Amino acid sequence: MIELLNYEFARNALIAGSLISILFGFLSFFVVMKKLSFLTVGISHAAFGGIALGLLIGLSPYPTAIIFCILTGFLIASQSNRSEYDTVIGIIFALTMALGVIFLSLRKSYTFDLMSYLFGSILGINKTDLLFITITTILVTLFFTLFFKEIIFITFDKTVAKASGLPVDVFEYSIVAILSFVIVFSIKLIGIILVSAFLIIPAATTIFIANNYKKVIMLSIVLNLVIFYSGFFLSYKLDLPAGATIVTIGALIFFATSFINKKFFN
Amino acid sequence: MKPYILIEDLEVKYQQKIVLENIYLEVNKGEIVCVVGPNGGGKTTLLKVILGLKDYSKGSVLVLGKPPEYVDRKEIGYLPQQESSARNFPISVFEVVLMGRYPKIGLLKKPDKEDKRIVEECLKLVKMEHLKEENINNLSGGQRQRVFIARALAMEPKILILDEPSTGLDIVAQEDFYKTLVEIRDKKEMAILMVSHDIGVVSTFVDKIACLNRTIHYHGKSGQPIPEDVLKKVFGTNIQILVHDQHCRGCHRGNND
Ligand SMILES: Nc1ncnc2c1ncn2[C@@H]1O[C@H](COP(=O)(O)OP(=O)(O)OP(=O)(O)O)[C@@H](O)[C@H]1O
Ligand SMILES: [Mg+2]
Repeated sequence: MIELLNYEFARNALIAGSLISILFGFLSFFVVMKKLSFLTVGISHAAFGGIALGLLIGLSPYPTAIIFCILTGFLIASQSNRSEYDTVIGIIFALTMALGVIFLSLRKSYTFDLMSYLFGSILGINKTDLLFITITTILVTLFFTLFFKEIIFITFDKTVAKASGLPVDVFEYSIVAILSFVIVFSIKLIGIILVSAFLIIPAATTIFIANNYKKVIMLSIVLNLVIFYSGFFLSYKLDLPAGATIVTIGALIFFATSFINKKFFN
Repeated sequence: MKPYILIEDLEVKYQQKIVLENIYLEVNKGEIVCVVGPNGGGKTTLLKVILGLKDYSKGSVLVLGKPPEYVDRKEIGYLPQQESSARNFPISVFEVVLMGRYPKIGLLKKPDKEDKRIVEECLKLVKMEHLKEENINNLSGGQRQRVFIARALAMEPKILILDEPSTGLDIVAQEDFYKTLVEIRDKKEMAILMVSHDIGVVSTFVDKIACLNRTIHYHGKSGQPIPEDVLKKVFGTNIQILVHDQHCRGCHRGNND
């Protein structure tokens, strides 16, 4: 196991994975409380269209993916007060995937590794990815630390927060933008299809155990690290795809916790 | 003294539908004003206009001397009609009430001793101090309502806006609550604008009652008939009143077509 650390790609993967686990563990509480699970699915799938467009016009896929994700996220967020909210997400996320497939088909060459974008290619994480992930982690941490109490108020009670003068709309769009960035930078780690699980599972699980939001956030971070490390090493041992192993472990922990909670505490 | 809330000739629409028109309302410092009226009469809409949460198509609205979009919102405490908080949010009663302090504390600062003292005081006022460590999700509906009232009080606003605050409160709690409102008004010199359906109880302690159904009709305190000329001056002749009780003097059962 330790010998793994001799390889740079493994070290990169572990550092990136740790940072993203912490970041996602933290954001998870807000995603779950604000019921943004399906929004994160919409955003992550939009990345596919963005990546395909980047490849088509010969750019690095990150900028186009981020633009695609943010536009999609904003479009979805602008519909959040309508009753057809989930319908809108369902249609938009299919559309962005469809566009992605069209862009790919327009490309002449076929050197595109579709699976690695959809399900992650953890060992492909390089120094540049690591840099982006580190910067994003620092900025997001800064944002949430500075405005923590306001963000808690808005998350708890949007209407009253707005009435008392907090910039609710600015925050709602900020969180969409933040989710877009973190999702795009974690695609290599865990993949478009799997990434939202990493944002939903931790808080959905820890909320069974802890009765205070601060504890839920802390525990979600710890849990996400546990899920990531165990998935990472297990996938190495058993020679399984890392992203899928991580998500499977996370989901099992979620169901086990929910089962135990129902059985013993209700 | 300028009025805390001054509304003149207000008209409000949802899409093309006019839901409020020809509204005049004045609320002064230290006054408790209660709006009564039938379901769909526009009470909540009126409060939302004052809070700057709903735009209007005609007239003038001045809250603390300014149009709602420019008002310092920290000075307005609000209790919505429907509970608007996230379900299952894991948080204690004390922390919820402490949120009421956040706007005044300002960015980048933490609550201090004084903030916590105010929170304790507000919890006492609504008789919830014994449950302050409890998780909000473990409370009954009426207890939650009291916590949210305490949160609005904790803002120490100049204007307190309460949309059906007595919903879910038992009879004793309602009595207590109204007494508390008077107490707070006297102590903190706030203006309180509230919506309520228990007009019988309310009219014994509020300063003014406004009957609202699309348009508004004013009453003085119970027992004091409103001078005819004041009514005429403020409202003209096109008055429509749908809510009446024994205190509704000076208004006659209009033909509600
Ligand atoms: N979001 C909305 N979109 C369209 N129409 C609305 C909306 N909200 C309220 N209305 C309409 O405006 C009118 C006034 O509604 P409002 O909620 O202000 O009534 P209310 O007096 O508070 O009633 P209640 O006693 O039931 O709370 C109603 O006819 C209602 O149908
Ligand atoms: Mg109402």
